[in-house]
Amino acid sequence: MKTFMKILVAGLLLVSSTSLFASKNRITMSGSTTVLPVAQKCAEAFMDINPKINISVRGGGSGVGIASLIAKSVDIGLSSRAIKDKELATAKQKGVNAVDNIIALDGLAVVVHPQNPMTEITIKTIKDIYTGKITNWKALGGPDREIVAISRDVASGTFEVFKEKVLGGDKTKEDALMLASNKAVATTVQETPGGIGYIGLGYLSEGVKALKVEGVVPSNKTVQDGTYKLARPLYMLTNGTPKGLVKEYIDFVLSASGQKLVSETGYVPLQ
Amino acid sequence: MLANRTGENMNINPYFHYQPEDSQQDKDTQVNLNSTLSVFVGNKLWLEKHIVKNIYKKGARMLKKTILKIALTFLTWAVALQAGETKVAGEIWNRYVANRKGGKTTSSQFSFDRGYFTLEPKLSDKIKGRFTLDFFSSDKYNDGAGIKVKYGFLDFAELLPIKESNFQVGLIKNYFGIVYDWEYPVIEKSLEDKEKVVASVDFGAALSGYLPKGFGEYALGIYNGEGYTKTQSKVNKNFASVFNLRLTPVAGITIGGSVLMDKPGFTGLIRQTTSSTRAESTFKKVFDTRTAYAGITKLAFGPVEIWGEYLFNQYDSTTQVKITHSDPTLEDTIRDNVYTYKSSGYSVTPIISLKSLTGFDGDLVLRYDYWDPNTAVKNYANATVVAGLNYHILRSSSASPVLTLQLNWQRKSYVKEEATIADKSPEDQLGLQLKWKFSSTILK
Repeated sequence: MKTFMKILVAGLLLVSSTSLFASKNRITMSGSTTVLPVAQKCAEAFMDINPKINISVRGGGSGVGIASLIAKSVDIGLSSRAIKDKELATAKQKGVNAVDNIIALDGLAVVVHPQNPMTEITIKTIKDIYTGKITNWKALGGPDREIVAISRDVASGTFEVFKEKVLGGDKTKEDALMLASNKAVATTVQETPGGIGYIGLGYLSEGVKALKVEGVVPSNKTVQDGTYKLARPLYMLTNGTPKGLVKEYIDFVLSASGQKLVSETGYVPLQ
Repeated sequence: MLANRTGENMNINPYFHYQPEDSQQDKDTQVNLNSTLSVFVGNKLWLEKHIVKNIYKKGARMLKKTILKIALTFLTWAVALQAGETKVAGEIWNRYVANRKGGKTTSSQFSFDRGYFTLEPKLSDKIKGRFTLDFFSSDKYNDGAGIKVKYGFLDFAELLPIKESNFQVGLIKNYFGIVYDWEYPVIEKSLEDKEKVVASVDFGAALSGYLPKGFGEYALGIYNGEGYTKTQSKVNKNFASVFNLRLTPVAGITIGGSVLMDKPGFTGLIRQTTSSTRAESTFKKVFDTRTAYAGITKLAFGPVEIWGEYLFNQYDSTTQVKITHSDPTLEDTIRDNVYTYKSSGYSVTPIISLKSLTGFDGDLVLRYDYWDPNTAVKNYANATVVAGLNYHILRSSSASPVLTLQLNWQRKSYVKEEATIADKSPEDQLGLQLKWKFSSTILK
């Protein structure tokens, strides 16, 4: 035990001495591909104002962002879903106090090919399409064309939100296309006349047509006032209350300038 | 019928005694010896027949094993291919170990210590399976390597209406102490695994989950109790039960504990010895009872993480000995023998992450174990000190290490519990391990 104590003390001395040399002028973040465009745009603007600061932003998905925060390999974990109890427990056991800072809102727009005559849809119908109960647009008053269900992959936060708000406990039908990004979903719907997909509001373009959901148009206003049902907050998770450079960056994202960038990226500012 | 050293005939109840894993090999050796002896009796035809029969037996056994392995693999693939999503993963440990005792090197060798191959088919959003084969170096087998099933279970998420709960059934983790989430910061196993207090994996069913807001985790399960290497005739009819609870009131401080209750062994005749004057029979009328406790603490602040565990294991055994005499003037005797074995110990593992401090992606690891295998006997306890350095050469996108080099030095010392006991030389071990993993998700 004495030998062990000697080694332990030596190790702690080594650590405390090396920590004196540690300095940081860098912020690292990774995670949700939905939050990624906001994080990137804000990072560029923030670095323009603070040229000595270097910000690194990577994607990977919400799960990757949270896992990286728990592993202490990033300062900020980007997530488009709330942290789970399991992740929270793992984080706390590792000494990480995961704090979810809401930086923007997003609506999941349900999109179809521009030539599709449909204009609105219910959550139940979306579920029936994605679980395979409805397979042809004819059943919904549309053309006699097979429905191609396009989804995000199961590792994405966007899918988690879709699962929670639309699918409930049910499984996506086996022939649904599971794609790796919002952009891929938008592009595929644009190129598939029978396609239906769901994407963040930020990815809406003239190439796809957004449907009203339960009679409500997906827009900033309907997401902010809570009338649009397929909406969610976007998070920047930090270890504890943000401090130092990380606080400066998140404060910038929450500022009027940052929220303007949120809006420019196609997401919904908090106010 | 075997004969012991005193010449007494001894009947051994095969149902009670565990058959050692290599007993089949012993049988082979015995049969081969018989074959050799027959050379001297000159019965060539018999010898040839016997050798052919042995080869056929061995071949048939190997064929059976091979067919079983192939069938299992194909079955798993078949299930996997039906699944919407399947994770394929592997973990390999390549190791060099040198042992020294009393100033002499007793071994120095490279080995393939572990090769896990895992398939995790996701059958639905709430049901997934896990099947893991464990390949390892072993001199128990002719080809120097062995294979066993490490995990094979189905996981049902939220089968009960409890948020973020999982029900697992099959060959599952043993949710006791720290064995189920031991991340091998050093090459050595966790204390309960190393001292064989519990097996890391066992056949059974368990409900596990997390408390709201990351306040902790829980698990309760029933298991065979004998561990994953024991099946069929080596498993008794009693289940072991395990309860586990961990609380993390604030980030960085975790406390918890586990209880395991089991009735191991078998009842019936254990041993019978007879001589010309007397017969002695030893019975087990009631099952042995075993209770194990673990208290755990995990502290994590900044770059420092400390795992602590206290273990206590009690084993109560009762046997009845009946002695009958051929001399009618002597009275038969019956007596109960009651034994209680208690073992206890603790383990402390501080881990210092060097990345945030120096930029070097590695950990400095220390560990101290103390274990007294029988607290009632003044003999030797053992104390093990480990010092190690981990270098995480590659990490996955979620920052999990996928290629790690581990350098460990450890010294196991024997602590005399009484001054009159003779000194015992410490044992040193130098270990170098390259641990690598891969995983990929196949979407249908």
